[in-house]
Amino acid sequence: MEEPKKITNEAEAIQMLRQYNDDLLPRKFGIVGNTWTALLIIIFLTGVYCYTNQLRYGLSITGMRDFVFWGIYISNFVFFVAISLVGSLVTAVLYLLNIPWRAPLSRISEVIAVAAVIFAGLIIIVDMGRPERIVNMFLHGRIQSPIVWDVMVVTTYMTLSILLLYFPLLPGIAFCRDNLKGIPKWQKWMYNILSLGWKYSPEQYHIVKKAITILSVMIIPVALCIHTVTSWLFASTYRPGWDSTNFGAYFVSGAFVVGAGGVIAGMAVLRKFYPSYKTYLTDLHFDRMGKLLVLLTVVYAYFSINEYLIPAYKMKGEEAEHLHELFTGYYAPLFWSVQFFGMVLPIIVLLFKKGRKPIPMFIMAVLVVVGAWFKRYLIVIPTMSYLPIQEIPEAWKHYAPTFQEWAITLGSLAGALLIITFFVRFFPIISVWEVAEERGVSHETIYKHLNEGNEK
Amino acid sequence: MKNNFMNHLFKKLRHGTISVSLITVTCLFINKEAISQAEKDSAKLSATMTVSYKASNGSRSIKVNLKRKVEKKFIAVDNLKTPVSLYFKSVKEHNPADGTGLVGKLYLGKDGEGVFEIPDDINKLISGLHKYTFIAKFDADPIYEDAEEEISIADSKITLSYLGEDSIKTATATLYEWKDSAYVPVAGAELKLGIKRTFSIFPIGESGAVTDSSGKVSADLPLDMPGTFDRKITIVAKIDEHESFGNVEVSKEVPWSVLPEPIPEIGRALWATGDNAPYVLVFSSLSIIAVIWGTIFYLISLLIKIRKIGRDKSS
Amino acid sequence: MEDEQKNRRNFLKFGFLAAGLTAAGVALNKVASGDEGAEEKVKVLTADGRLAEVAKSKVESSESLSAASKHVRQGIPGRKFIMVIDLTRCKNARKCLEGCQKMHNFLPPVEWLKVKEMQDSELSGKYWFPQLCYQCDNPPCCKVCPVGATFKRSDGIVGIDNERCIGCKFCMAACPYSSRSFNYGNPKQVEYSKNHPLKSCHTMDPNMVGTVSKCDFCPDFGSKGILPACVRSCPNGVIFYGDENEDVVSNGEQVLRLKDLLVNNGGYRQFEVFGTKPRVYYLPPVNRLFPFKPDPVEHNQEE
Repeated sequence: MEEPKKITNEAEAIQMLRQYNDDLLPRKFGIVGNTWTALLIIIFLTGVYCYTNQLRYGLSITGMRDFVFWGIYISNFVFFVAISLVGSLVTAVLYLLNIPWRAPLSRISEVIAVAAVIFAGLIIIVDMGRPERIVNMFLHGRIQSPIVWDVMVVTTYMTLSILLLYFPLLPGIAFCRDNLKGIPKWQKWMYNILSLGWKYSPEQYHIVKKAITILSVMIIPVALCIHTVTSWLFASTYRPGWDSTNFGAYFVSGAFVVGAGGVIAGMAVLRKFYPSYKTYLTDLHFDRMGKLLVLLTVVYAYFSINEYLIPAYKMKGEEAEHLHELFTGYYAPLFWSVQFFGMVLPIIVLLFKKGRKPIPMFIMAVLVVVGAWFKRYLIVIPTMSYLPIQEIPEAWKHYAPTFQEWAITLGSLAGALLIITFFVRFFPIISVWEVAEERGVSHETIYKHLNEGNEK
Repeated sequence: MKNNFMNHLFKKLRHGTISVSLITVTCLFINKEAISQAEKDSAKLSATMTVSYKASNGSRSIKVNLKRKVEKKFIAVDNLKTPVSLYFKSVKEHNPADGTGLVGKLYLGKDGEGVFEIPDDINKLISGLHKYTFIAKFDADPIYEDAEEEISIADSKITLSYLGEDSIKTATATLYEWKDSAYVPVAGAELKLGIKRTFSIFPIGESGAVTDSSGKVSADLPLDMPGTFDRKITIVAKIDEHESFGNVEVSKEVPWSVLPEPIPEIGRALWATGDNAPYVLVFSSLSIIAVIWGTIFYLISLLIKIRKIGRDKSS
Repeated sequence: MEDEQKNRRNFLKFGFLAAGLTAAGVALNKVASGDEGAEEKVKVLTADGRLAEVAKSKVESSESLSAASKHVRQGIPGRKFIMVIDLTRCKNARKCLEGCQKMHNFLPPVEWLKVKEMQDSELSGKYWFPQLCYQCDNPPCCKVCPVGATFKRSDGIVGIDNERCIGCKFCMAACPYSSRSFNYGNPKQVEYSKNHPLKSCHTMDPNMVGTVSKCDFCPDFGSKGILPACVRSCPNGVIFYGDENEDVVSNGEQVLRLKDLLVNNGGYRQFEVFGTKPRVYYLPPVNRLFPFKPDPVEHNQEE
């Protein structure tokens, strides 16, 4: 696998840019796309309906009870926060490291990040018993509370992610505005508003470059914060399995893994349904992302070992009970499946060159993402069964999510996917100018070409 | 049109049936009501009433307690719909019908208990009498049988004196009763001395001490007992459930030197209110927020700038 | 809904006021002097759960109300409430938690006070362990509350403002003793709350759906010198309660010096290692009055 050659000739560059424009403009969905969207909308609306029930009858419609008071809403929240970290990884880290193959991936990862962080914010409200009192956070907020930190950092990260999605998107929106023919009025109007009067001028372009650099630098610490603070929601308690100084690093490393998995899955899906994208999401990209995923998973495995083996070496009190349940008890089947399919198997498969082809990569990515979801379940729920009093009735510590709870949770996942789907439908998911730049096309050439497109 | 007519007819029919069934139900209901009323009258639960008298520093109260027996155990009655009435017998002959002699009505609490505070005007009457009788009545309750209980009290008086030296602090109480035309000391009555605490009286002296021939009981106070922050302590002398005097208690505040532990000010702490957050936390978080959101606003200003450039170019 | 809340609040207002009135001995002056019925009477609930009839004019003219609500967050001045639970005496009579449920108007399976089997180590004996909110002096729940809905008062009590709680349940996660309950809106409880709308607690409303509640040491009893409901309900005198500043605790029958009791009987607090500094001490279950008998009934099996 060779990296594509740099283009030096201007005519060739313009030729290539034209090709890019034809390939990468958003277009109408086919039957698959429409069915998929409809399905997501149905799941999402079911979730919304169940949530109205929850508003009416309280959290009693969930499976949560006094001893298991955080359920799949919270584990889902942790999952969303985790997967949203990918935005900072691919867009910012790879950008700052000047990795030559990152451009086509950056927008995919950024839109995943935005969708996930929006629904992270929403699902945490769903878990609240009194969502209408959220305003109390501002009226009576206490800076000592990790939840307040979490609210601040989620909001900040959401803002930064949206900006990091938006700045590089400006030329793309303008291009859609100028080149998409036969679109409804509202769509045209939307492009008009969102493109901020983009005129392909070098000044505007210069500002965008500057903003991307600032954002890339700033989003990394904020991204680390968002997941570290989320881990502190657990680590700041005294409970076995949560009371861990390793939790921040463990969460962050796990988040990078699931984020990379999400991007790979997204790449594979786009490649499948947009054959023209094959030129941009090449085997090379899969190969590199595969290698990156192995690295990230190994780091994650390292923190996992720290997280489980050292307490297991000591086996103290309640911690021992918790670990026994995970290793050999009630949660053992799920625990070992998650470890194997979500961590060990991907490492092994992706170590081989053949494993880093799109199809096996897609399977591994899905395993990683699904595994990560259940891993969050295992982090959140089992801990709450270990109590300072013995002989607790089973009913108090038994937790089984109800149908409505599942519906709301799946609705939130569908909602996040909907954001991504609509984005793909209406905006260029691969950034033309960034890809061109990566191929060595100078600003001036792009500017010239885009202007040309504008005049057309 | 036809459809409409049918509908109308159908509605009428249904209406008719409904009224007929309503009447039947009402009849049934009335019948049932009547029967159950009769049943209730014959099968009311019996309740046991106890009444006790208390005089504390001259203010009098009557405590009423209603219990019922369930499987050989007394349990408190609760959810009573009817109040208990208390009458003072000696004003003139009391009469529940027109409320003559009524002291008050009280709904008992969840624990089946209620306390009547005797109002000032009746207190005045009592003070001259030296012997008085109260009657508590509970009647016409839908669930419980009527209950009535009488209590008669003979007047008594306790005086309390205190001698506070450096190393010995002694309290002495004397019990008197009204005999013929004067208060005379009572010998051989159990008179307790104690220190008043919020929830209890801490007993001092021998337990079960009885008054000597001059009606006195004395006790030494523990020297390390903390008093109030304004250097006081309250000593109490009392008799409990005396057959003719009831419960009588007097208390006296005396100077004291042992202070309680000073209450620390709630300073800045992680668990304190939002206003009392530790400075380090406030300043560090505020500065981080300021830097990051400052940059965000700068970035938003860049967006505005882009838009401005776009406008300028197009015009 | 809103009206209901208003009514409830008004009732509470009357409650405080009536508490003040009874204390002052003013209530119920329906004397046989002939002015009977001249004044309109209203039924009010006193703070200890009693209904009383009070002249309407007196209810409205009272000024004690505002002061009372201000003190809810501050605590009763000069007090430092403390509890000692004597494990030698507990035989799982479960009267304390019944008394607590009755007093605070909530239904099983919610237990603010739990009595559970406990065995410290393999060869040591089992014993009954009553557990409630320890009102810690370094309270982890108050640390994590995002809105200050749970707060530490100067009298040691950790209170909850159910009008402010957003229901995030973080305090429940933070409490290492699992002593907090969440009102999930159990339909039976909602129904029961409707029929028993009157509260006696001025710090906590256990019937508000979607918020957290827990044992609050019955502070309104405390302000009147009445022992908490659990202490009064216990037939074996297991629970001692008092003011640390007064150095005396009582279980209703016995009155003991606090320091002597703790020093001489090896008083301890649960999970001292966490540094939460509970305000509830235990006396170890040595020389027990009742032999340990397993409970034949499994309580609270329902969800």
